[in-house]
Amino acid sequence: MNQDDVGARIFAIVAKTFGVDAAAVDVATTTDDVDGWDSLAHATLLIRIEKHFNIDLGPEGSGAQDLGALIALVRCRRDDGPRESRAGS
Amino acid sequence: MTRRPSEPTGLLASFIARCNAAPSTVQFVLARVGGNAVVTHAMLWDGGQRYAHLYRRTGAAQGTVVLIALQSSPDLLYAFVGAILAGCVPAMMPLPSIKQDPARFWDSHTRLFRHIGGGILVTDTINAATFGDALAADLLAIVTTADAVPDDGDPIAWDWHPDAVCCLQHSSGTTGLKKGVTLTSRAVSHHIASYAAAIGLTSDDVICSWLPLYHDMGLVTTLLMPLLTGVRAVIVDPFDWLSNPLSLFDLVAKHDGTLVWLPNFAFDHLANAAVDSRRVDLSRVRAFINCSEPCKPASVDRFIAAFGRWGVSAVQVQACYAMAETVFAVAQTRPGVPARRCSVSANGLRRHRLDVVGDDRISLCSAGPPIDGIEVRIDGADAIGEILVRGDFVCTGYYRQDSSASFNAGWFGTGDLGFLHEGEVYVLGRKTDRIILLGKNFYAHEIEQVLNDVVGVKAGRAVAFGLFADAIGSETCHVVVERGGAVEDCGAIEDSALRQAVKRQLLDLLGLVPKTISIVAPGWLIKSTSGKISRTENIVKYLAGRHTEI
Repeated sequence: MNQDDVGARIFAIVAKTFGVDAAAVDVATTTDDVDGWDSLAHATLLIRIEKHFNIDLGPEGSGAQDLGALIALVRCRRDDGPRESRAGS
Repeated sequence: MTRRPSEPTGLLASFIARCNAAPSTVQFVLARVGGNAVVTHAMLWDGGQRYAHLYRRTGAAQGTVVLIALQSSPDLLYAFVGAILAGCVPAMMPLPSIKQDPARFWDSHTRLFRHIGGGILVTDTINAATFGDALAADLLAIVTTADAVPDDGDPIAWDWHPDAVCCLQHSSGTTGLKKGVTLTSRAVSHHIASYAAAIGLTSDDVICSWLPLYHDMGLVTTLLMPLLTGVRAVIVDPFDWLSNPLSLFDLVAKHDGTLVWLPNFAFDHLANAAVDSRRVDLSRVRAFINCSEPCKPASVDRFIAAFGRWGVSAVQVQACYAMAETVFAVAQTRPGVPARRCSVSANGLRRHRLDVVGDDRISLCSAGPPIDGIEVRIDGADAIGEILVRGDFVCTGYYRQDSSASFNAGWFGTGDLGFLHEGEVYVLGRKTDRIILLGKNFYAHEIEQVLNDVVGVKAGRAVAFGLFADAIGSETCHVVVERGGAVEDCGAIEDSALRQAVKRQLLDLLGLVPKTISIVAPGWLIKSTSGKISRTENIVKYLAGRHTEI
């Protein structure tokens, strides 16, 4: 999978999560641009991305302000290698 | 630790006795990313005293309302305990989310503050400094955690009269029209005793929770029940849990958790997060209790399937029917016995009949029998109707509001539709326009009222409604608005701008993110014969997909 695939795959996950056309989102898309993007939907999106890429986004995932930031975070985490189980406190 | 009364009575008796007998026993664990905080009985007492003295220094008397708007922290617990110790009436308040405009959020509470008629608001120093003006400073004495310093005065432990209001729960999800449910000392004590018996609570139990304490389920199961019975509670911050739902089960394993309350959507959220590469032993949990939203068989089954290999079985998944107006629980299935289900005809339900035969039967989850101290009956002659309740811990009304319309001959009308079958309560839906989003109550007419103030929306021409979404196990909110309003030139505001304005208004004032926003031409919405917008008919029209967005 090359780096460009990461963005395309994330757009596909976003499309599935929010019921929108993948072509309608891009790196500049923010939570305000998509109807129904609330805190639960954001958490669901993060969980789907983590499962898809087998990575742990960590708390930074919650703070991603647009899809560009999310894609950058995923690329960074993939470079770090597969996720370890996120342990609770 | 400061001195404590030796012969406590009333609401505080058990708490003070435990503080005397076992000061170093841990009562609460607050789990946060970056570290835990443990709170012992002695810490609760000392922290509570600091706040009780702060309230007294601020001029509080018996019955003064103390609004607590703090992040999950030991001070949140101390501020609440301090209010009870001082004879004040605590009410937990939500904080604005990071996406809400804090100034608009606080300003939107002014009507609530005026309704309460003043009191004390406890918040952090940042909120107090930044939004002091919006916090209705003319009505409220604003104090911060920094003000809660040790005081050399005598310890304070109010001797609660059983009929005195000791707590306010705000039942609606909206701001300005929030109803404050008044809970008396007697109601709280009786309810906790009855509910503890229903779930077989023992001192070996450990509650694990992510529920916010401004919500009745969190307030009662995670704060009041531990304070009154001594059972330990382990609490993870709601926002931390949402992004890392399995962290709750890590806490269960680490702290030997035995009881977990969850709204229906949380069963789906947890199931969606399950991964094959991990395993946590959940076999020792006595009950995962589904509450605050109608319990859905599909959500329960998904949860059991996802976590079966973690030791979860059907006998552990229980259900409860609850509301702030009865302190919390009305009915509860009994842990240790699989919760019952019944299959009834869907067509029969539509005719308000219970038909247990037919090809169109659907499965429904029982909420269990009523707990001791409360009676349940169905209004009217049909098998299905509004659920009515009365008993020891049903509230007597809303704070400073005429509540007579909610009661009939001593029975409180819940607004929920359901039926009784073999002595157990089944909840079907709602008689009112209440929408339950992720366990939080909203009212469609209140959402519509907020929409009417959006520039570009034609006044009085907006409809809000909830639709159940199987994928998340909860309702989602949908709004349809007609163009118009203050700008009669319909082309003056672009769709995208109007959509953003609607979103911003709902988020800032209600903390609500609608699933869909439909902007329609003037005249699209259907009126009833009385000239009012017909929510029912417009839902049908919406679902039929006949709306044409401009």
